[in-house]
Amino acid sequence: MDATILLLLLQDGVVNGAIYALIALSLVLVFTVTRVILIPQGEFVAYGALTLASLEAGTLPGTVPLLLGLGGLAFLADCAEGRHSLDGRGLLRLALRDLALPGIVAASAWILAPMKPGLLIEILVTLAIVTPMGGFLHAVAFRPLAHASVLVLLIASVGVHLALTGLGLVFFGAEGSRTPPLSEASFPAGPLLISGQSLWMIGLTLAIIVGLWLFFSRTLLGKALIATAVNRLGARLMGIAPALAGRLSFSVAAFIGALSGVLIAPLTTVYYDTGFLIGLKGFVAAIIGGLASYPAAAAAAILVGIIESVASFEASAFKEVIVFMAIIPVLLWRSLRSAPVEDEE
Amino acid sequence: MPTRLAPTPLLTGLFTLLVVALPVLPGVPPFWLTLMTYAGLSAIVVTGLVVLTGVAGITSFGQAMFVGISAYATALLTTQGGLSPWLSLPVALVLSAVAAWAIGAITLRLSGHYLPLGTIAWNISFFYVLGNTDALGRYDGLTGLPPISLFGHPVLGGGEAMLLTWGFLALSLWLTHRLLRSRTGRAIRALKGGVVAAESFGVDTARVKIVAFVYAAMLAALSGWLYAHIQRAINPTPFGINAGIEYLLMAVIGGAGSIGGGVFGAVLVTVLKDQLQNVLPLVFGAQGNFEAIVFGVLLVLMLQRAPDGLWPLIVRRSVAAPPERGPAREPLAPRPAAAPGTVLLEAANLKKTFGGLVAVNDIGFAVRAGEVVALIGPNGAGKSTTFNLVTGVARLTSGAVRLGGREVTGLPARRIARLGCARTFQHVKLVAGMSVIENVALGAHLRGSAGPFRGALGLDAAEEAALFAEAESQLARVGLTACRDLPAGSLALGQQRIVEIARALCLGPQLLLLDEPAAGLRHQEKQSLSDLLRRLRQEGLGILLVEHDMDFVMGLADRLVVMNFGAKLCEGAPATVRRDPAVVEAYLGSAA
Amino acid sequence: MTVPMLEAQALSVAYGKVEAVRGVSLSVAPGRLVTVLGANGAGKTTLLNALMGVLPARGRILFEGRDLTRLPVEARVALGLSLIPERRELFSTMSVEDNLTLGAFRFRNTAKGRGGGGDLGEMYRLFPRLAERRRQQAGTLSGGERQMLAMARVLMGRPRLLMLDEPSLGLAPLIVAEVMRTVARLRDEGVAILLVEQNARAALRIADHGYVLDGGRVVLEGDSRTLQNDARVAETYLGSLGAEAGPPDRIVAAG
Repeated sequence: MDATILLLLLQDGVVNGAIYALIALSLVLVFTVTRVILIPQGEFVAYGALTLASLEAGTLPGTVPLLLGLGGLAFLADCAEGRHSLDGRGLLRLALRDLALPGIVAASAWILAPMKPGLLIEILVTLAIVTPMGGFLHAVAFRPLAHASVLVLLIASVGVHLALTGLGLVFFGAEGSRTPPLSEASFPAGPLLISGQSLWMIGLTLAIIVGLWLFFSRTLLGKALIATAVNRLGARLMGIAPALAGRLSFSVAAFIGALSGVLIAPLTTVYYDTGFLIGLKGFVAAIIGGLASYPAAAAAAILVGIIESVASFEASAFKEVIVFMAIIPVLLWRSLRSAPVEDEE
Repeated sequence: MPTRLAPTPLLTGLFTLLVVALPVLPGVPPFWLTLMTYAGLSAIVVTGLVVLTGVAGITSFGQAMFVGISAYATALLTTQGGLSPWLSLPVALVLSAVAAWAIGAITLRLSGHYLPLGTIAWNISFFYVLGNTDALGRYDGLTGLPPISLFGHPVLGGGEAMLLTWGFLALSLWLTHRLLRSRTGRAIRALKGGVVAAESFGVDTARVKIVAFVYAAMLAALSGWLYAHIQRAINPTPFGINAGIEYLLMAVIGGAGSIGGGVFGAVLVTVLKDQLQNVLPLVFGAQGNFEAIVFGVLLVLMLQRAPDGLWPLIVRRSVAAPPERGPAREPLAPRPAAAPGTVLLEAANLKKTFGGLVAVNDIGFAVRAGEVVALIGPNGAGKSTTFNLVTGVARLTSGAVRLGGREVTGLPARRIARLGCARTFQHVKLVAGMSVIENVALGAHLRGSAGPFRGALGLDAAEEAALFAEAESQLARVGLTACRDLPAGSLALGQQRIVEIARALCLGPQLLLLDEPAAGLRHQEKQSLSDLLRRLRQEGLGILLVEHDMDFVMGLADRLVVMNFGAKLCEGAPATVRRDPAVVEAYLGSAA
Repeated sequence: MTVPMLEAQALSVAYGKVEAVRGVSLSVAPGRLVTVLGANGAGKTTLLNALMGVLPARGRILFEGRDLTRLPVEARVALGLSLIPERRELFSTMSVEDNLTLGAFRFRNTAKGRGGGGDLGEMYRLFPRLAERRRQQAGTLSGGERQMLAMARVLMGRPRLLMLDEPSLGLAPLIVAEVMRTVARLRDEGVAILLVEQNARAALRIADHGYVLDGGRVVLEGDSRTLQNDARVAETYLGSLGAEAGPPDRIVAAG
């Protein structure tokens, strides 16, 4: 392996790592706020990519009926949840959020799709379709389990993953899709040719990281999310409902997932089940960060990307094995560092 | 208490009849026989998961890997090594067991959710290793496996394969049933009552977890071996992560808490999956992996609505009945009591800091044989921390604890238990679903020696009878014989505290440490507890208790040690302490 | 008699099969300071948690006549009920100022809340130590400062009825006195207060009315002056034995 190839692999690794970093960040966010290990994060990625591909092709994406369906279910779940405290205004608010909002998004997708309005609009529509799904999923699947253990939540999370992957197949079929790159430009840099696409990916990743940082440090809602993660009871006593925090974190995760899908779609053919593996690699990174630290998770994600790209060059058949086995020593290191398990509170 | 109906034997009987009759009955479509074969194969794996997840509380998404290790091992041994399947079976079992031991030694140390994530990682890796290794036939797999032959007759699918599978399933169920009843099984079940409690009675919980893990892997291996020789060709797909998830799904849907639930879940999911694959495409009119959607939704709904699975809803749920009464036996020989006045426990200059906070500062006291010492003080005074320091649950920052003159500072709780020191817990730590007598028998864990093999094969009868006789006699001593067969969780709190004392007595202790034994007890119960402790004191036990209830303490203890702000305020007889102005101020606040 | 601000009717709380609070009824009138006393394990903390909705309870809880029994914690906070729990439950990795800002979370959708800041200045005037440490992480504060922060944080939400669970726990006597003065001042400003204390003497000195819990039941109730002189209060803390009541082997005789 000469230096040029190494540089090339590094570039590839950093670009892929940027995607894993985004996913890892959202996994850390969801876990710290809700204790849910969000296995279906990968499905948001696949939905994002496939929805954009549908819009590119000028057809109504299958995620639109899914959004409407989830919204309806979430409405029912919200009504059941609030049956003791819901008044007319509350009901109206729920209907706006769970029924009207997806309705408007669906209508705009229906109108815009055949017009092929161009990449930017299509990306915005994609994000508008996938992002609300996060909150709806939380209301339907996870809020009723708010008091369950992390393990039960993890099993439920796997259940949601199974269902969403199955739905992905129903709505998008077994064929994969690829979208045109965000930018055709490329820039020479020494021996390397840096594509506009990779610049977009790294740039957007950085933008999101900055955006998240601003959200958490500057807005009351962002601080409320952190507060819930730090001390759930303390947050409730300040009037911060865990359900609100959960819905918000799931929505942020869905948004980041969809955006990752949009970014990755031009690089590789995305199938209905591609998201699972991508999501799991985000996991490897998140776990290296202990499911708690954002900077550690982001750094680990870049490392995972580089390991993957080097592995795929050196031993392409075993690259998945190498990436997933990388987790074991990390887990071991984590558990050696952690105090012996005590079941006293 | 109404007599518990036991529909299980009836149900088991009917089901066995059905299974045996199905292949023999004319006109049963062979397709159904195949389906039931698959159900049986899954049920063997899920039985292992019941032990692992339902009983020991270790969630694994990765059982499909152990099925695969065994299937590929037997495939190589029989096709390339020319071995008979019967000879490759032990090799496959041992190989899986060794793999499980190695993986378990690494990953079972992982806490909480890291472990199941680890299982996902290894199962995914395993799939790609299979699919990319030439010697294993890559994604095409291996073919041409010989069938299993039974008395010279090859088992070639259909009804025969089903009977063979269900025969092995029956064997697995029987072994599992025995194992869970044995001394090792009680230790596995005790994991649910908390690691600290189990360790306090001498259970090496890390080892017990590995035993459960290896056992589950061996059942998975048995299933893999059967699968390979019934199918006679294998490829990586049935050993991937999705299969691993499906096994767990079966356990959760059926009910991971009981063996019946596991089998039920396996049959239900197998049949349901097949039916869904037939019906759903007709309904939706399109291609798709519809059963995955249904299973996913079902899994979430189950966790929301019936987290214990469907089986408990069908069979009116009861705890597994405790073992039948064997022939009456003598309890274990009592351990000699220490001479009255011998110093049993000596705590010197105990200190514990959390970060910069000093929780316990320079505490010292002694407990002698035949006396009751009480540790009291207002909320947050550091009593519980002191108690945990003495019992080895928390680590000392400095100072020393001596038991019977032997330094035990830094020893883990299970080693301290070996020195004849038994304890109870502030928050009762019994295994709620286990019968009272078995909970008590756990206390005698260190007084038996049978391991998992003797237990599973039923070679531990004599020892078990002795342990249970001991448990019976301790239960009689505390006056709870009537509750013998009830699930511990069904008792009132007061009774549960007494059961904990019986469990502690089963250890044959010289020193008894009680953490708030009177909390939540009614007046009558406090009196009988107090009577019991007096009797024990008379028999020469040394007793240390942490207690809030002043009436209880003042009437019982020989000496009080009063703590405040982590330090010792005073020590002396109850009447003296009661009048000490510093104590009055600590409790009622300053008069200034 | 005015309508009570907070009223509990036959409130019972069970952990599994164990009833920690058994049929407790109590009320807090507007602007009054009511204290609940009792030894460790008497059910005081459980009672407050049930009133706040942290624990489910049987019976009825009325706040200004409105039935709260089935409302979640957040909804009770929105109505003006607040609790400073025994463990304070601060956001330990966040700054003192962030902790305070989040105290006003329930006003986030009002013009006042968005403007913010107003109450913050007042809190810093009230608790100057917190102003000095506004950038510091809450977890690094001393015990007394943590109690101050817990109080200031809750006051940012302008509670109309404040419940405090052992605010003196683990604090040195001088700081206890300061905490009690703050509590009394809040009452004088019109906030109704339900104070749970182990430190009976300190609590009774500032309270208007008191309840004594034992074994999850109200065993004694009265205005604080009466309770201060009632020997039975001391008894619930220190037991009846050893002092004037009977010989120490009374239980043996009974058993």
